Amino acid sequence: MIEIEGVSKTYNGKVRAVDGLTLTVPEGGIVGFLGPNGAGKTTTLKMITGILSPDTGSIRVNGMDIARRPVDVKKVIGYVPDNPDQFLKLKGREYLRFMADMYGVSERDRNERAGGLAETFEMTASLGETLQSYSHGMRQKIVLIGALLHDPDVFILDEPLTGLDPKSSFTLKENLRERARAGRTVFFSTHVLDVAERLCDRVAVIHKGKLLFDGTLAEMKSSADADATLENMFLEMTEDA
Amino acid sequence: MRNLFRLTWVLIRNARNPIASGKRGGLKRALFILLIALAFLPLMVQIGVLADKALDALGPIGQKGMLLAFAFSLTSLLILTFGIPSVLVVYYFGSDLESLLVLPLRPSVLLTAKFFTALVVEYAAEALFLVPVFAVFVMHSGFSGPLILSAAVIFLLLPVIPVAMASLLVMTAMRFTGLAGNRDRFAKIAGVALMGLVLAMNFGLQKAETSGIDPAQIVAVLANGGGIWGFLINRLFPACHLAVKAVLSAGSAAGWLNLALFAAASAAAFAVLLPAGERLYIRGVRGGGGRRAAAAARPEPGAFPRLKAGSAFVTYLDRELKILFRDPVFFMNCVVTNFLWPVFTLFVVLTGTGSTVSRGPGLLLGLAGKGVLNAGWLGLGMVMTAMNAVASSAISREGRQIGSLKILPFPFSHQLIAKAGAAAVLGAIGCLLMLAVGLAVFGVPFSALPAAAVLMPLGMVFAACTGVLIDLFFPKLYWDNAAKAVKQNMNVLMHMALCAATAAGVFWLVRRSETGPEASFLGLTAAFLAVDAALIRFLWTRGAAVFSRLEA
Repeated sequence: MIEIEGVSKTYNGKVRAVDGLTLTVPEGGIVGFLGPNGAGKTTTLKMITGILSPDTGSIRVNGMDIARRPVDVKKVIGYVPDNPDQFLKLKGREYLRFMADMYGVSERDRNERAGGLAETFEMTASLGETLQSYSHGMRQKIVLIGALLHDPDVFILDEPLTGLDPKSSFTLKENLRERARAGRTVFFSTHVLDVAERLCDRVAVIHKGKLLFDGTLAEMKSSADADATLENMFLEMTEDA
Repeated sequence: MRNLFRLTWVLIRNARNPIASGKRGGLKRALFILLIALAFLPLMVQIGVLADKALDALGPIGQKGMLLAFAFSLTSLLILTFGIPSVLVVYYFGSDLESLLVLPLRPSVLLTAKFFTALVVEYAAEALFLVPVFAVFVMHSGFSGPLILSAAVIFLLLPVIPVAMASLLVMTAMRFTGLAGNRDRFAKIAGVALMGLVLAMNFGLQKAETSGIDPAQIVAVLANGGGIWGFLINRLFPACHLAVKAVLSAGSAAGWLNLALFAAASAAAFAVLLPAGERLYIRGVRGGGGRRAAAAARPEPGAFPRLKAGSAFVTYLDRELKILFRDPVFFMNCVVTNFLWPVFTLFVVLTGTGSTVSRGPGLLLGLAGKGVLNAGWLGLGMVMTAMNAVASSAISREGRQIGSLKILPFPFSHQLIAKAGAAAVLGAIGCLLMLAVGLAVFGVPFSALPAAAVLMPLGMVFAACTGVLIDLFFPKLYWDNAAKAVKQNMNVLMHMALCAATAAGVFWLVRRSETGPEASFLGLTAAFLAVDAALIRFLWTRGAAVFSRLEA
């Protein structure tokens, strides 16, 4: 579970990216984080994962405060950033080994999980190449595999479907559903409203750093026209704000 | 034409040093240029002195043109040599290529803009060699407007032919070989080759200066067309003779005619490049775009490679070293440097004058049993570790991807120590090589080795920790080219200065106090054990806190 309470973040003392955000992402479901460009989605995800520190407020993951127990929190999180251009000089297998060692994954588990995921995402043949030579989609896939190696309780993804081919996209969505069914926490940001509509149990809409909506899609629809699509509701919400 | 000028302007601005960006960019740029000019001034003065002596000898026999012919041809050869990596970067390895290919521009416009960008880069190298020669020539021939004008035009046109040649060579290589897929390896090989060339030139000049210059010898060499090298480069750049005649008869009709002919020859070289470049370059880069897809499609027989489990610290350290060895810029600045200084020292002794050779062996024998030798070991550890720039760019090298390290459940304190460890590992290689040179050439007594084994690591730890701390407090995370994280990072210079000053201070203190070998060993060991422990503790606690606040 992720509990965000009164979190704010300002860049350079001027741009308020996140403004008093309070949000709970429960376990056992998939929560979509929606918002237009520059709404504060990535900043929020980066604060949950410890990349950024909030100016005010607190964030707890599985009951642990990220500010007080950062290493313990990070151990339970799997994070897929919006930009997979990282560790580019490492080969695929070196990257996976690096991640497995960082998360302390046993030799048996790492080989079982990485082998399976590499096969599923059709990456086995490319593990001997450096990440630099990968396409955007391949980088996205190797980062996904790296984030899943330690079988995280909390899976956080920033625009995870960008650049993925249809098969990988399907595989990832199935993985997210399985995790949610197993009682894990899944929180991901997306621009693709169709995906959010089909995949999410709940959605949180953020705009200009403020939370506009947090609830199920049914709750959102009940407050709008009966025929309204998620796209209509989203546009209406963010235009009014 | 307007598109061409705009594109060229954008490309040149993009290639500019980011040190000059932001507020007060102009002042920073001016200071940066001044710093670079000061760094190269001694070399320019050396070239000027050689040119002056050559003209003293050649003037009376009416053969001043020999010097110009040699200078123009040699400069063209240098531009051709230095131009190859520069052309490679401008044409192929820039991050702008894919954005440019989609623009509605004719291939010739893109090619011309890239050519001008490569040309501008080469003017700096040209100035280094040609400005002293022109200055000395004007002083010898008397100041005149037409002479200055001719010299300026030749300065602007001279790189056109060698840059066109370098472009054709690179384009052909990239079009018909698999080098485009191995750009890192290619850049590393080219970098090491260039470094060797620069070293050889430097030693050539040093030797010419230290061995004394006999005017008759200069005349003989130049009259012989500069020997085999002169023959080769004169054949390679025959148009240089037009430039020589243009300068020698500047102001006369023959002078202007030769200048016009030289301009026409340069234009012809570009005219040859343009259609060839359209075929080689544009098709080459469009074909090269499939590199990633090719990597994706490349079958790799065999099953999933087993991932062995290891210590997080060792894996992190291994990652640091892998990146340093694999990235061409980091490799040249952080890895090769460790090998460069021992080679440099050895080269000075082996190629130096008789006095140096005779002084080399046994030079340090006299220090045996003296306290200052212990200060020397400590200083060597510090300076070698500082010079490889691994510690002082440890944070900056991560750039905007620093966040990918912050999500790891590996404590920041451990990460910082691993980064310092990478600097110490590479520093140790440099120190061991220097020690080997010292033992083989300078007569370092074997009895001094136990002290070296204790004091050098203490110096390395000092440099590694201070370097990481400096870069941690003043990181340079916003860069689009790895060179800006290392070569153009002031932290590296500041750290080198700090370590050199500390080493010099310790040396001075030990020498002044005339401490014996045992006392200096015990004193330095105790002092630097305490200093290093304090630095590690500071890095572990305060450093980790600063790291946690880093944002990019």
